[in-house]
Amino acid sequence: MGSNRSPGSHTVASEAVTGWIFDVKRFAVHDGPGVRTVLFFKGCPLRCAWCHNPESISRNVQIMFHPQRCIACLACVEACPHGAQQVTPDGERWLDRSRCELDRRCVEVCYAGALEVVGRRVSVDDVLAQVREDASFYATSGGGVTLSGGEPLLQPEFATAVLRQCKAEEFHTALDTCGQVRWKAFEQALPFVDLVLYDVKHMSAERHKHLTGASSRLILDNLRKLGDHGVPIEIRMVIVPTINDGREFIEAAGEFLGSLHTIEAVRLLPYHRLAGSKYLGLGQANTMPEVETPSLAHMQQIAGRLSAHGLKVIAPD
Amino acid sequence: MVVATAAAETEQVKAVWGTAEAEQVWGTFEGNRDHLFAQFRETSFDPDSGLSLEALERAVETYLAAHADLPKVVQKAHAFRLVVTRGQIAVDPLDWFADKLNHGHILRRLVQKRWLDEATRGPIAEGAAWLKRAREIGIAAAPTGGLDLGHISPGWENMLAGGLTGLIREASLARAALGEGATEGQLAFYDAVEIVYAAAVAFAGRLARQAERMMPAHRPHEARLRAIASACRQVPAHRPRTFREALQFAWLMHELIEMEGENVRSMGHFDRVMYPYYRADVDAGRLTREQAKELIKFFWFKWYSRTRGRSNGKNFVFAGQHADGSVLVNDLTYLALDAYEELNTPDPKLSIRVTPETPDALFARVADLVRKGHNSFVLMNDVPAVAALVKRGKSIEDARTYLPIGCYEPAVDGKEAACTMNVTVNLAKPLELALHDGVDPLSGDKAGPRTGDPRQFARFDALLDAYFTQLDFILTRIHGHIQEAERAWPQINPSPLIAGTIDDCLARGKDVGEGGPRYNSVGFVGAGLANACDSLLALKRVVFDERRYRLDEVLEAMSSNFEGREPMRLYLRNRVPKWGNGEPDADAMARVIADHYCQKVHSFRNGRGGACQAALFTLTAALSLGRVTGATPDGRKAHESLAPGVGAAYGVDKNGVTGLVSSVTKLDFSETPNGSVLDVTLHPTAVRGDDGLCAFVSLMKTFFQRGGYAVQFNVFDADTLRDAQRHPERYESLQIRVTGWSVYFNALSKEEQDQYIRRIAYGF
Ligand code: SF4
Ligand code: SF4
Repeated sequence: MGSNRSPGSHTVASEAVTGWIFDVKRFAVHDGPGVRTVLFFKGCPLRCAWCHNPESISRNVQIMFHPQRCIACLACVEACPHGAQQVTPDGERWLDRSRCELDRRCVEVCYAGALEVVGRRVSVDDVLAQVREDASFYATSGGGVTLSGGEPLLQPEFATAVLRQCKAEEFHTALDTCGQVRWKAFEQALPFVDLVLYDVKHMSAERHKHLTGASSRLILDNLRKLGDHGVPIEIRMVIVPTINDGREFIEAAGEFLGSLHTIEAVRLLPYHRLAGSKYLGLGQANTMPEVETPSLAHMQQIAGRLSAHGLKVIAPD
Repeated sequence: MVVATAAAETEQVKAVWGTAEAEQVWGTFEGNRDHLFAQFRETSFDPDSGLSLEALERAVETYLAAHADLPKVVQKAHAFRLVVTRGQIAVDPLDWFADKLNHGHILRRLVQKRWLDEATRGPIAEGAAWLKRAREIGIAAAPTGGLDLGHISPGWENMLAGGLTGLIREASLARAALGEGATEGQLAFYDAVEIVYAAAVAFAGRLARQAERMMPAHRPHEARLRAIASACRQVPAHRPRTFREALQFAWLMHELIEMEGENVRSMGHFDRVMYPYYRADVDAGRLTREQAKELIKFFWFKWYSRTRGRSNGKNFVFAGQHADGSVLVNDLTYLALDAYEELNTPDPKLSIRVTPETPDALFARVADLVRKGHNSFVLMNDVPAVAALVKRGKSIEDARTYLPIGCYEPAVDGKEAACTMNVTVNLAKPLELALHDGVDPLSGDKAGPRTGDPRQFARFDALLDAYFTQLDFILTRIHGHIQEAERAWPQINPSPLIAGTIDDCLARGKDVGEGGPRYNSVGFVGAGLANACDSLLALKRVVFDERRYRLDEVLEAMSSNFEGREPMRLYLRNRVPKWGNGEPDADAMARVIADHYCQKVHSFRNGRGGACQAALFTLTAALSLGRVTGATPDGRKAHESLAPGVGAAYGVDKNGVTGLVSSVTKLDFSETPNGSVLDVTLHPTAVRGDDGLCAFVSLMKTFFQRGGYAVQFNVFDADTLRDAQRHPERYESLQIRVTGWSVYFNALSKEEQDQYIRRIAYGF
């Protein structure tokens, strides 16, 4: 593919490019075809209230606390040179994040694994080493690598370098994006992308701004351009009751998506509220709307509406 | 192989199966399911058909008392004859297969309670006592006395080919061939074989007459009773004429062999051995696919009715290859899987053999069944399995016909007495001994040789040497005791009924216990590879490399079960690489241990002139041996279970299934001729939908392509998660996934866990 034609010097340099990720999920299914290795990039331009990966939002490294693993040994308190790990008068440890300098000493001494650094800098080489280990799964399943996050294209150089190297080694690539990035970032990455997984949250510019902190304009513009570009696209919609499950939105989305040519499928994902512990562990306020997971019947109904626009819809059954 | 092609034979069959009765007898399984389920609990034996249990027992006792001077094999044969020809019987007009005999386990009790007892108090007393103690303190688990009488498969093809009358003929030819040169022992063996086969034929004849006698009183079921009578006149005396007769044959022999005192752990290569009978029936228009499926259901339901879900390892194997190496899969393979799905029972156990040519369609069918909850399937890879058997001296053609005995221990079909579970050795125990200079810390027993005070060891290699010295000592000792026990075998459990079906017992005039079969092996199962590996690596890292803790500190912490040393325990557990994650250091350590273990086992010959064969798995020994193993340096607390199978210790496989596969396939399974298995737990959403099925098939194929041996899958459910709430430690690596999102189950709050469990139960 295109990567083979890149100047040699460029390729060598790109392997040394580094970026920030917070997780690698292996044997992932439903994130593109076959069995996949999913790289979670750190940092996201949107602030969706229902985000279930709150650790993906900030571009900075964070300390995550897992209370159920803590054995209250207080080694962290002893180790912290900045007095950020503290003991309350009633003997409980807590983290004063305002004092934390992120030097990780507490994590180092927490053998229980109750303190975790979220976010690590990795090179393209590091990433590929892991990807290659799973290559036999791709071969038997038609799978490959998926960049997710966070927003991979917030780190366009790194994302592109990873994608380029994956294609050079003939791995299938998928890019999971929220779309809130400059078109230029897409242009850079697209030559090395086999499938785009594109999140659609709301159609109305205002509602979108209200829900995610950004208007839907750029996102929908980019999606239209992707449609013209010709790369296969799978749309992903997290259905959050009362927020984006109304008839009006679904119809508008159906109409818009139906007008694009390269949408392979629309995947409906039911909202869930299982990420509360993550917010707590990061010391952040839980912003997840207090609504229930949509019922199967409801998901089916939405699927029916969308497929009326000539779309292939994948919904839980 | 072509069956019943003769026109006359077909006519004969048609006479038995009138067209009118076909309408009455088919489609009756579901309606009679409850009745059939109770068949072994509520059998009403016909009191007029034979002796009451008490009288039967008296008859056997009287006979034995009067003939104590006869060779044991002849005594056993006559006891068998008495039971099957004089005991009360029953035929069920609602069942296709006749079988019931009121035998009260007389023969089993004779073997287990008397002859075995005599031996363990007599000639093999020392070994029996040592092995008993070894089990109590968690060194190894062996059957009483060191004899495995329970893991064998008869030669199904040998039996079916010419029926029992064919085997009787074979016996008399072999006897004649030996002529004057035959020993007393050989003559006794031939006598016994002829007695038991004649008795088995007579037993079937009694069932046939019983069925006929019942006809007038059971008019609505007359057709089936007539069919039963006809079948029991044909089999097991002669070669089956139909698929139904072949099943009747197999089931009846299963019952008789078990009654004689062995556990039949493999019911054979079903789609290879039974296929000709099935094909001939279908081609001749005697039987439809649907009817064949119903027969299989009646047949298999017998196992479930008996075990009621407490599975006891009765195995049917499918697919793989023929003796000539050509790939095996056919219509009967798929039909039987359909029957299994409809039956929806955990018993019998089905194994699927896999070769590089096995079609994707079969993988997909099995994957689909597993994800629907039929999780007792074992998939086995022919490539290492056959290679391992060949390395241990079997011909390639024979090796290709292997049957998994019980779970995943292969034995050559009809030519091998494999004793696959002769002993299960705790691979973590030698480390306990090495760390205490030969003393078992929990019991205080001086169980091993003195290998020195480990605190004085300057280098890790010295510790590793001590470990291997302890391991070798244990293996050598066990091997000696097993050999002694094998020498006593003919006096403990002569087995003419099964021996005559296994090549070359008849030709040699030797019983199974005398080394009559072509292949005679003894299985040495290694349990807890992960614990041994992780513990040794932990000590290497923290004591010798990092020098973070001194060895005496670790020993002290272990002896107090890490009381007050939780941070150290967590360091050992969380900060040292663990087997099952694709970590190079751990994988290399496991390989060193496994290689040493297998080589040592393979340096032994057993008492019947055959090979000792290594295996790596655990079954229930993970629990039972773990219970008597102290705290280990991998951070495992005292009395906790050892790691299951050949996989990771509980809760440490944090790199998921890809990590597990990566580690496990680094072992050389052509060195585990007695089997191995990886247990894999899958998330239900990972295998849902078309994507999930594709991923599941990919997982299976990848595991096998990379040289994995056998694998068993468990797709977890709400119950698994409730267990995880009760025992979070065991499930530290359990991740849940919700459409593209994943998190450790333990990281959720109780409320979120409950919420998720509701969701899983709901199937989302
Ligand atoms: S070091 Fe870890 S386990 Fe110990 S108190 Fe701190 S967070 Fe808890
Ligand atoms: S990261 Fe450093 S500064 Fe922050 S809490 Fe831990 S030890 Fe203290």
